Amino acid sequence: MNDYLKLLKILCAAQVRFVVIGGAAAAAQGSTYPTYDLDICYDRGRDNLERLAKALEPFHPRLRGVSDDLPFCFDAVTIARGMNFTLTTDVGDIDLFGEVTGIGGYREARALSVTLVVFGFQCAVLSLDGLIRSKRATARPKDLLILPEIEALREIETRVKGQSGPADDRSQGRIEDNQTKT
Amino acid sequence: MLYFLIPYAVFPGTQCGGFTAHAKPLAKSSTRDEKPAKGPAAQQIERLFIRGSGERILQNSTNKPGMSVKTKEVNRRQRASCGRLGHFACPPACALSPPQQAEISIETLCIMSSGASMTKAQRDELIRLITSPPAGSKIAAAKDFGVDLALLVRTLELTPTERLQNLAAAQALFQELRAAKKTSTHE
Repeated sequence: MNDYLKLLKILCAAQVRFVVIGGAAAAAQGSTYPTYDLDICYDRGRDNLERLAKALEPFHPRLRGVSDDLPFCFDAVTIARGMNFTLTTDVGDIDLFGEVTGIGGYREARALSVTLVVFGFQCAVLSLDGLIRSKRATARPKDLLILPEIEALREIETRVKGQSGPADDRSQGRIEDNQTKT
Repeated sequence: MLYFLIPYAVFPGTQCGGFTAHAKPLAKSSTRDEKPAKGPAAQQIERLFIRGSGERILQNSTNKPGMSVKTKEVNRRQRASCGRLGHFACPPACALSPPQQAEISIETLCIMSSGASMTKAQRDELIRLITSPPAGSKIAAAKDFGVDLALLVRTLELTPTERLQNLAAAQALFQELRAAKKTSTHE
């Protein structure tokens, strides 16, 4: 089971620059489809790679779906040489994406993200618009399956926002819970 | 109308355990006939619930010096009756496991019953969209595709944190089910 609290806490505490993408991002914004890992798009700046490697190191990150015997050293150099990693750690599975299909790198993903307060941490989460763009570009059957729901959520968000009252009425609003366009 | 929502609102919250952070310890009353030691929120619920005839009974049933024994007995029965009504407004003790037994604040009840902290207009619009999606909209398309729109109302009432907690809980359930399937003797 994924411990989202721990994974996000680890990354936020280490000041890693990342955007939550994929199923977890959809779930955080209201999707009912389950997912089994945490997908993040990380900034490939050298300092961020160091932080990311250092943050996950104590939790023994290893490649998911390969033999445990396969030697794997998770450090900044390894991350710099690769791009996307599917990892399993002591606190759950995490996928690291240097680039997101249909969106681009961290900078583009960040521009399409909203900031949500999750477990007390301010996390950049790929917006519904970003998710729609990404899912359409990926176009795998499982992405196309979730697309109608995300599009419905996007429309609900737009229409319900139009009914908004005074800002302070929505201080804890679930629809817009601490979301701010970034 | 609030008193109709309260029992409905209390049980889902206690089952999912997502509202315990708002809870305060419940003071127990020893017997029904004694004045129950209730917190301000419970008293407020009771006041809302028994507004009308119940309120009059409570006001009128207070024992005063010089009352006959018979009058005091009538008052005692009336208060007991009100106690039962008041009990309806609070979950019965058997509905909650001891650690969860708690008095839930009015604010929490409002969140639980009326759809988080959305404004009333927002929630009304959400319900309207879900129940009768505009023709040609993405919401209608999702409904046609087979998306359970009622589930969306449920998730949109939660905070992002609560949504991820639900997701983690679902993962745990799937894991249990998978493990159960592996150990099952049936083919």
